[in-house]
Amino acid sequence: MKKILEVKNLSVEFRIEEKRIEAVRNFTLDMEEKEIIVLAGESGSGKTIASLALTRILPALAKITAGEAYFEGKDLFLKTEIELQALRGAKISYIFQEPLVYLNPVFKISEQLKETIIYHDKISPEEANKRMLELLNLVKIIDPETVGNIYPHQLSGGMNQRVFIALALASNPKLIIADEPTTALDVITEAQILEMLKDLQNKLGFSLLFITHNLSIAKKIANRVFIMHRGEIVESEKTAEIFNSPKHIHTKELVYAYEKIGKL
Amino acid sequence: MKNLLEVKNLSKIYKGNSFFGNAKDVKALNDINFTLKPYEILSVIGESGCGKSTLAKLLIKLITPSSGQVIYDTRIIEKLTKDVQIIFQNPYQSLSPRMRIRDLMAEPLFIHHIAKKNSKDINNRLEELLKMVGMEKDALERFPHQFSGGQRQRICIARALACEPKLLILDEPISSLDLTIQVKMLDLFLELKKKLGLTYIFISHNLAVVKKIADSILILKEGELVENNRTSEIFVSPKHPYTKKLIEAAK
Repeated sequence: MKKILEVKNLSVEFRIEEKRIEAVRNFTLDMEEKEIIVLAGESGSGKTIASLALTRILPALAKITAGEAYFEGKDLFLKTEIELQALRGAKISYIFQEPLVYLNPVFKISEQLKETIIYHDKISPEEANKRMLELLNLVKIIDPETVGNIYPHQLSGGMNQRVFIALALASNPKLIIADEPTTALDVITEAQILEMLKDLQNKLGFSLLFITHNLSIAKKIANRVFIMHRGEIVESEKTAEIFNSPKHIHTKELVYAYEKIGKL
Repeated sequence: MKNLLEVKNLSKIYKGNSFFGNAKDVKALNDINFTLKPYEILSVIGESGCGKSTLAKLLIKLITPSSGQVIYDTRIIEKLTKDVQIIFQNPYQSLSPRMRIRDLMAEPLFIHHIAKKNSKDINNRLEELLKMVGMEKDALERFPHQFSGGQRQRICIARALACEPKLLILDEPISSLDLTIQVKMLDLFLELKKKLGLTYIFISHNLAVVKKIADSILILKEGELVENNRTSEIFVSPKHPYTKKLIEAAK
């Protein structure tokens, strides 16, 4: 299998006046094509920062201090800002926790989708319209014509997350980084969205890096699980291994929480 | 055993109120009936928007019902009472950012005339409360932003316990926390219940949690009560199709 993503010894630190805080330390992760990897850890463990560092969309105070990252064999950290710009949202897409924060409240769903489609594909508005309906169908929105014609605030959280996923799919990405995309949703919607993501992954063949604090999601979708604690990867194994014989103490803690309240 | 709480025909309609006159009324809760025995845990389950939080607010009279009654220990609840306290989901919003923990926790004692403003016992009581929720007494002089989400929720619990309530309404008290912290908080709730003889109404959307702790479950869907039964019954033989769907989704 070909590697789609390889990260070696990545370190990121926050510089606040004289103080330096290491948010990510020696982060190493590899991902094969069409693989679903869950990156799990408690809040503050550095999951999000590590994922943002890959395409250098870090907060202003954070700096990458060491490490290498290869996407499709090419060094991400050697790329210029313009080259990265061409990669973000195109070959590498992100899905975040709160879709309403990222969808523009004053534009209709259809306008936002078409804008993205035209930006990436450079096609005519009519073709973009067709593609938009296709994407909304893909994320299982019934009656895409109507949904396209309304504004984000008129949709529920789950529907907005579907729209957000459609946006991420617009450019046929090779890698999707999903950062807690179901944490704000209730159980039924969460189960639907997870199932849909897995179907889409199967159908479209992208790789999925799924960030979460909830190991029950790993159980449902992951090929492999990486456990993160205080900026470091403490354990990485096939999903079954993680649940059957967790080695590191923090993995054990997460598995214990899952056993106790993560499953029925 | 006598009922601690009795809810009769409780309904809440939020009146549409728009400048343009085109707003619709929202039926948040429709004709809810249930009872609660002392020392039990009743869980309220449902998707977002099903009226769980409206129910919580009605129970402590934070909002007025459109019709129906809440009877607590044979009295109809007319206004906020010290016997019934609530803990909300988001501790970031329920602790005033500009007050020290000491002042936040002491406020209910003054409001319900349990202690005088300059009484010396207050300090002991506050330290005792913090100890109960597993926190150090040096927290008293600090501000909410200096604590993590889990610690803040502990402070909210300590504050709710300040006036020795009998019934605690927990409105998704652990949903915004990490799974590992959720486990610790659940243990704390169970421990406090045992120690202080509390009764809980535990509002949640997580069936796995509810299965572990609840004596009985009440399932809401779009403002309607669709099923109300003992926990074991709900999981062994769910009656309503919606209940089955919920259980399926949690697997």
